[in-house]
Amino acid sequence: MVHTASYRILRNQEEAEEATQDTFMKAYQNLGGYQGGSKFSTWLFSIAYRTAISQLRRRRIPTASIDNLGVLEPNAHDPLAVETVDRSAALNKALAQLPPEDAAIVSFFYLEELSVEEIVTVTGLGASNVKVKLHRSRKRLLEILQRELKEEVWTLIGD
Amino acid sequence: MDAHRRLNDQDADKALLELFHTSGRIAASEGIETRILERIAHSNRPIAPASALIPGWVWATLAGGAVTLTAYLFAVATPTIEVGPIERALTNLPRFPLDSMLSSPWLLVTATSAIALLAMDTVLNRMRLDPHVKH
Repeated sequence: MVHTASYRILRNQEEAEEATQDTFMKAYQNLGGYQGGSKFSTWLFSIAYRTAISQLRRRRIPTASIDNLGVLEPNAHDPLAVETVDRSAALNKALAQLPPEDAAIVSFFYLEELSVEEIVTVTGLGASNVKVKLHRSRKRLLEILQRELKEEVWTLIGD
Repeated sequence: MDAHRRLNDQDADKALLELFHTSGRIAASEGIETRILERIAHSNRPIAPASALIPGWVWATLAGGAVTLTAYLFAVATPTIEVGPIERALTNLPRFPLDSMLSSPWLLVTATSAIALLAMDTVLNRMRLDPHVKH
């Protein structure tokens, strides 16, 4: 969860792992600050988001090529694994074409299934801003994915 | 199937949800949990003392009561030759039925439970505030 959120912003495995460790450290050190006003996962995501964003701003090293982003090694004997890797690569490639902040928001919405209100809590952005970003990102993602996955998009929706 | 047709919002959401759930998770390298736990173990988290299970005023009251009781028992048990105002006041207090109290199982169980509870509170509180104790 936390690692994926960090990765969506930083797009670099090592940096995302560093941010993940920092996130858990901060969460541990500020555990007393969790008031229970939101879900614990939302609180943790807000730390992860802020940590990754500040790490992104401090970044001096160039990011990886989007062609190599998060591509998993497929198991050649398992067709399902190959298919999953293809999809994963296509999704990573599509997300890499969005601004890091927007990629994280989309991931919070579709992967972690946070509500708009929860994303507002996590990111500190306004609700209307989050909605606009979600709308634009979804449109952009679908354009890229339809190009990358072609017919498979329709298989995904059971058509 | 027409791959170029437009997805409506509902279909788009459904497709993206499915895609993110099957392929959207990025696995961290092996051993990250261990590294996180090691970092946490080596950190010195400032421990904010929380309120104790039994507040301090209860301890003070019990201590005061114990001292008063001990003093009373001592005064009652000691024969007084010269009767002064303090001795007279103590003598006028109702007789403390120590024998019958010590033979009451209810009282003994209550006293034992109270001692056990206070001891547990002390031990737990010390463990909680000890940074070397792993929770």
